[in-house]
Amino acid sequence: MSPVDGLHRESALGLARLLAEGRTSSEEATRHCLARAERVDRELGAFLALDPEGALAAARASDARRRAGEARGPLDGVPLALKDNLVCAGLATTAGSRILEGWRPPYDATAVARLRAAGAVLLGKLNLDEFAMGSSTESSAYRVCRNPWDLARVPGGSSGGAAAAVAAELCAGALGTDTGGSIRQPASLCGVVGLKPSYGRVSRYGLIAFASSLDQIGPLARTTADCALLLEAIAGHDPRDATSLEAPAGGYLEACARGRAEGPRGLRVGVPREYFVAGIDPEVEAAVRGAIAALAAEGAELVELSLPHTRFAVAAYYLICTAEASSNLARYDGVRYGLRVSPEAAGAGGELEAMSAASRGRGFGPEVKRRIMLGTFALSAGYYDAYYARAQRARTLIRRDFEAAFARCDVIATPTSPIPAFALGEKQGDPLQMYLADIYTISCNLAGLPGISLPCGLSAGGLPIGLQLLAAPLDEPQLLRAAAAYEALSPATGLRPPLASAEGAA
Amino acid sequence: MSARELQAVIGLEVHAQLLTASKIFCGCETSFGAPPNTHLCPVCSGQPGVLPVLNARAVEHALRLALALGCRIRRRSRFARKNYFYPDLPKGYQISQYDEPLAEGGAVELVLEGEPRRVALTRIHLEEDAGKSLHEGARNLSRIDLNRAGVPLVEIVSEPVIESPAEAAETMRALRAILRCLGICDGNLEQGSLRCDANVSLRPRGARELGVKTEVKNINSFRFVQRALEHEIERQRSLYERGEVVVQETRLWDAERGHTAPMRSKEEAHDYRYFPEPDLPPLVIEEALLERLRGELPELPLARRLRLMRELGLPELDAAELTRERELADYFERALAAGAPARAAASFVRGELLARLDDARGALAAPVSPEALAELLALVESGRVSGKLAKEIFARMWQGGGSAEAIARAEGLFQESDAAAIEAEVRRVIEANPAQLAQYRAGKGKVLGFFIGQVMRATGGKANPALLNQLLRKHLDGDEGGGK
Amino acid sequence: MSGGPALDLEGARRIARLARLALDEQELALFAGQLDAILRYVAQLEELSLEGIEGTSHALALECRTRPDELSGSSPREELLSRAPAQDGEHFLVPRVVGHE
Repeated sequence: MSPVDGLHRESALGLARLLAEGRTSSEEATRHCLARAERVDRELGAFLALDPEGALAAARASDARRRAGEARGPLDGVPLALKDNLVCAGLATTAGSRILEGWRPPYDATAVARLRAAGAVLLGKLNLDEFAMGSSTESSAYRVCRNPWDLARVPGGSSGGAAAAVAAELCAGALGTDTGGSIRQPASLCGVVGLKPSYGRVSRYGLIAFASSLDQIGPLARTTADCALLLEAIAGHDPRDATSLEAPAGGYLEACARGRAEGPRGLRVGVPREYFVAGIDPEVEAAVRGAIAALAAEGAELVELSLPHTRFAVAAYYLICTAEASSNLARYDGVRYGLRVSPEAAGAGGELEAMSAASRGRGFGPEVKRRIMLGTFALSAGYYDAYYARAQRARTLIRRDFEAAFARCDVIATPTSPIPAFALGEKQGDPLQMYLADIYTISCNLAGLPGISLPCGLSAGGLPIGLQLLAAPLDEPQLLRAAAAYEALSPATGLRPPLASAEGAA
Repeated sequence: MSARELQAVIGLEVHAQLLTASKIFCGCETSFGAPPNTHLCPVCSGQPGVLPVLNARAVEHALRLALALGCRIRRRSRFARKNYFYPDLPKGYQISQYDEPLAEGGAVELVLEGEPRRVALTRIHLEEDAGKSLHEGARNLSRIDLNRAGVPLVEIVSEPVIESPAEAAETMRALRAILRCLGICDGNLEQGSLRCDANVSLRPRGARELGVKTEVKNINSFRFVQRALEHEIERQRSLYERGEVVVQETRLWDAERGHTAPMRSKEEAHDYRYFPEPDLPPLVIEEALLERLRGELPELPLARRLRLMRELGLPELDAAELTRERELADYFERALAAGAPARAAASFVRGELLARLDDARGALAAPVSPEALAELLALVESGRVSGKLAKEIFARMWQGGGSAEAIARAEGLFQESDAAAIEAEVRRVIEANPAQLAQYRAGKGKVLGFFIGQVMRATGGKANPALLNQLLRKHLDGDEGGGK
Repeated sequence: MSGGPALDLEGARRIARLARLALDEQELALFAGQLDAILRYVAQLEELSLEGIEGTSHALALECRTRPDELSGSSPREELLSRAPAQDGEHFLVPRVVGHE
């Protein structure tokens, strides 16, 4: 097989090698990805927009650099894609919402600028739940996104487009965002690796805010090492983000190599009892317990843990994230950009108020409106203390649970999602049930921890199951070391969804 | 309650624009008067995805003010979002400080009708300004200019302890003098770099509980501070007199009509849903920074005024005027340091210098330096130049005519202090005017002025007045006076 | 937090206005019901003993970094105005503000 036929199967590091060895060019790889996306994505719905001109121009520039001996590093020339809530100068960015239809950002997100600086080729913008609010990508205002393992099922969310695109081998890697599991959960449901860095590890400048104290940008890819590679490119302090950390970043690829070489020997793996309780799908529990047993069999030390405030996490999370969202989304008022709807009647507040209200009423979808309502209520006079302030204090208790836990272990192992991918439409109409499914991923955001999801098995129905690992704040190296060690043991490593293998054989 | 015994209680909310080059959360310019929407970037126009980064100088300026006013400075303060919809508020919230402001307590010290007063402060905090909505022009449209959005402000909130409109106006003047002295705000009410809102209520004299208050906004000159408050107090008083109640509301001062009118408000307008700003971690103030800023604090206007009165015996009016602007006081004290006598210098600075300056803050750049003024005043002191001619010399110096000495020499403006020469002239004038001499001798002392005038005319105004006076009296009063 | 419905239809109407959302009666009724269910769920936070516990508004203990007071340039006016639904080349235009300050 010539490299070209199988280019889409290559990992980012694999492509980097082929490019370095001159066995393919960035233009060739980019054309291959674009053509494949054109073909496959009609049905899959992973992309909201492709940018063939921009991507090919970047690819040709990369090839020219390489010819001149000025290649910038392993990502130079590698085609990647971005969740559509990451701002990209000149490229329409919608955050999956009608209210931003047609908006062309006047600037680049820092993470995007860093990928560009590393020479990466950006293929286009990926589907997501509207403003990243959701766990199924069904709240996207533009198109349905499907799971490559079963097209009748959701890819998870909110970075569903990113997980689906990576799983279907439309790109080697992508950047997503994670506020309560939005990278890890779709990674789990689509059988790929998704990494949510520590809060502040990656600049949020240019990430269209959902919940500012929880949002983080992170990579999705088919291997742990590819996630590490992408994180190397985007991590580090940014003077444009006052919450970005100044602690030195890096050493991620090295940590992966160490994990692969040394295995999990000596690793203290915490197993929180609150994460294996009623509500978890038996197949998920079996696969995750199997993964933990595999780690133990290879020399990891298991530590029984309690994270006693876990059961309050969903309540605290949904009050905090909606409160912040209600404020973050106030700027979509029909004045400076985005949708403006002329009101039918001026109403009590006059025509201006009616214009903004009509624009927001029409421009936002139901999930976004529901969350704005909840968040506005939680902050409103007379309710702040009972709801928002109480949630902030519960958050402190959840954070302390983890501080105590990480005194006793290096990483914590849990399921990523209590269930594998569910059918499209199955959970629409009952928001609370949808929120409760985030139980395993949101504590990580509340505490600012790094977390990763990687495949650990398939259900009897052929759906991927993810293992989540969590580490102490800023300990991405430990997290990646453990993940790479497990990746080498996982029965799910290297499995491809039917959609990809069918296409690949073609 | 009897309306006559009602006493006003006023609290001020002052917004001062901090003198920084760039906005509080981005690198756009802050200067006034630029074409609309040209000082705008993704951050201050509230584009999706942007984040605020705090301007260090804005923090330092606010701390300077807090130190000058004797506030307690929080070592850890917090920014908060104040949420409300308005088309000139790009993000749909204002970044401000709420329950953990930068500084609390402190006071504005002032002198009101000769009495020292201390207006206690509640708090000082940092926040961003909003843009401007323009309503004139097209009938059903408002135009939005966001140049001002994100300009750094300090909000200074006083306790409700001000007892009269005059005291409120004086508080504003004192605050403005302090802000300008610190170099952190240009204090221009008309351009909006200093803004004043006031809470006004009435209560029976001696009562502790406050009455229902109204908030008066849009007071944009010192004159209006007093007038708007007088009007609002009168309005409330007459409501009580008629047995009606005061409604808690926001009222706008209408300078043209000279009254306040209620702002059309909505019932939810005041639910600002404050919460900690997640994009800005807590602001931690290090002792080293405070130490440096303390060391840089200039002498404040009131302290300086009192010192000038104490050390130099200047009248209060002179001292107050001289310390109105820091640069003017610096000019004055530099002239003193160069040897100028205090009263003469005060009189020249207040009269000649200020008359020629558009803005007292330009004093140190005036064409006549404090040292040059001191040289001129030394000529007066030594009697070589008369006070009257000194003003003329000052005028020439202002036009670039050179030093006082050089101008006096070139123009022959030195005073005639040669007693023999003046005496000869005195004799001549007395002899030439026997009728006036007779009048003088008959007891009409006023005729002395006539003789002074005659001699001055004859000497081209150069006769040393003290010497002339002495010689004239000698000849008019003495036996030899008639020359007989 | 406990007792009758945490959020009724009138409450929802008030919140919608505060959030500046034009919702029709159907949406209002739907959201009122759903939010009420969610609020009943989150009421479990009342079980926590939070005496003396400070709230966490930033996951990691950070301090606010400042930037030097330097100009970094503004956008060309056209660049930002051109994104607006209504503008006159100099200003953003909106329906006339009622009860403006």
